[in-house]
Amino acid sequence: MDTLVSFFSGRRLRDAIARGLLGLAALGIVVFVLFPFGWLILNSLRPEKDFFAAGFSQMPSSFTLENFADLFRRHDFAQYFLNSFVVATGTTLLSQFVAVSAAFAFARFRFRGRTPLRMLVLLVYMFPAVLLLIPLYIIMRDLHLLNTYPSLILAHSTAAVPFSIWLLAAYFDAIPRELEDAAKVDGANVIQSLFRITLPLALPGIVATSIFMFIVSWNEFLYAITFMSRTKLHTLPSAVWTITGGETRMMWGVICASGVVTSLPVAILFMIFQRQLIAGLTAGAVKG
Amino acid sequence: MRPTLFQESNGLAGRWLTWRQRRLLTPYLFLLPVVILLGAIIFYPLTRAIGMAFQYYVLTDLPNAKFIGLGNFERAFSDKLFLDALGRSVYWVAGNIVLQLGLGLTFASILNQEFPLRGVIRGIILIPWVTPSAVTAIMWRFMLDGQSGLINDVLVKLHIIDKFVPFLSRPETAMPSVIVANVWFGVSFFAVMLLAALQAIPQEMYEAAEVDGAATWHRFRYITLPLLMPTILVVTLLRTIWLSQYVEIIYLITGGGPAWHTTTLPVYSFIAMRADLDMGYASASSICLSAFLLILMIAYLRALKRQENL
Repeated sequence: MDTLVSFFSGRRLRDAIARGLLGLAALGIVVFVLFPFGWLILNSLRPEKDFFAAGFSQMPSSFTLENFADLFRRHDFAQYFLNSFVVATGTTLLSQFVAVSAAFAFARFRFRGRTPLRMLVLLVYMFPAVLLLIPLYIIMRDLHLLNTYPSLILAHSTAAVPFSIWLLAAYFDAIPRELEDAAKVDGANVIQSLFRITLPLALPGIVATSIFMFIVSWNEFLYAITFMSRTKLHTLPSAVWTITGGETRMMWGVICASGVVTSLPVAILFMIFQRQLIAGLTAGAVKG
Repeated sequence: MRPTLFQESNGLAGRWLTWRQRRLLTPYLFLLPVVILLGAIIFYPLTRAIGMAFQYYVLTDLPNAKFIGLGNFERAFSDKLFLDALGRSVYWVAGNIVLQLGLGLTFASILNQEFPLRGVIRGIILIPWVTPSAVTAIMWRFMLDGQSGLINDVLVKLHIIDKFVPFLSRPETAMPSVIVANVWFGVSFFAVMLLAALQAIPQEMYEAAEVDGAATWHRFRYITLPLLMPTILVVTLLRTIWLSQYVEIIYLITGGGPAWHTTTLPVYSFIAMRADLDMGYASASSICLSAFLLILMIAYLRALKRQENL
């Protein structure tokens, strides 16, 4: 009896209410983030005829994979998926080569122009994408690189590289020089010590930046739609946009399915490497 | 023993590079890839953009390409669409920042508390950020649709409106709708950064304040806010710069419509390039955008410095 009274009039109740509200708020965040996705997935499984029906119903009348089948039968999505994959992989490889080299230089050497150059690399994010897009289109056109994979790989790399250099340099800085000096004593040259000592130790950073580069390239739309005008070379975001525009009647089922297919790889990558990504991002912020 | 890059070679000191020269050159060698990449894809195009801005350069009319001095710029400032786009850019940035900052701060505060599954939710909050802009666009375009949109359905059922509103086709509601979509997309960044800053505040300060009898609101105002301010200012600056030049979601959802009502300055340049193939004019308007951004940045940094000196 006593404990009951003390519960209702004491701190315990207040704490319980506070915790309840907190739980609700946390739930709110989850709903906010995941609901649009849930709605997307739900509607990708909805048969097209539902959208022609008179009333609006929350749940699909039945579940079907027709929309996904349509994507691959009528809309050549396998090709678009391949295009995105080739561009993203190419971007990651090129960007790693460039970023690791530069980060190594910044972290391990003292040279003239080091600090200004380091700033200059990050400065590229200050330029509007549309400003650079216009002349780049002309340049690519003149070089006959329009509608080829390299045009996008190069453009995407410029977006992925600066931040990656910043992150990797922080990781490299954290590796004690003594390890590389020891290798030098044993007769290793610079390249060998880079590959055998530095890179393995900086692996979390390499993983985080690789995922970052892949996702940046996969998701990119502006350059993709500008450089690849031929439908056969569209990347997934361009393809998604194309199916959405131009139809007098929106085929929402198929459109939602295209959205699911496009976000699936990045969602999976994110789920697996979530911890590395966040650790990489915030670690860079702390060290940098 | 064969001489390697770092080992001195007595008998072969005459080889094309001395040991010392090689050592000086090495860092620059490692920097060569990034210099070439950024030089070719960023800085060289930049100079060409500046060049084109002073030319009449339309891809469908190349034989007539010529230098016209400030012609493009004059045209821009007398073009109603350009000036409208400028105003809309301000509206776009302000709307986004206010909502993203507010929501981001709220989310960060919630995530700063202890509760089960906190780690999982912190991971989840980044999902909008890794979503392709094209997917975000169709998600929201679908939900806001005038015929099959979920939002319309819910609002009607709650008796807030009595019939479906085509949010994206109506001039008054188009921009707010696109802003909402982008807020969903951009809150993650604010939330994660602010959370990191919140976590950096030592618990002892709150405990000391509580001992002194400070209420929750006071604790927030005198401890949290001042310590959070630097992060808030930096993140806001970064996002403002980013938002000012952002094209993707706007173009994907409305293409700048209806009747130019969602066209911000960068969208305007993009359309000038894409639809009219008028590279000169498009370059000129993007340069104007860059100039405004630069002024904004300088003013902001000056204000920041002044605040620090107080």
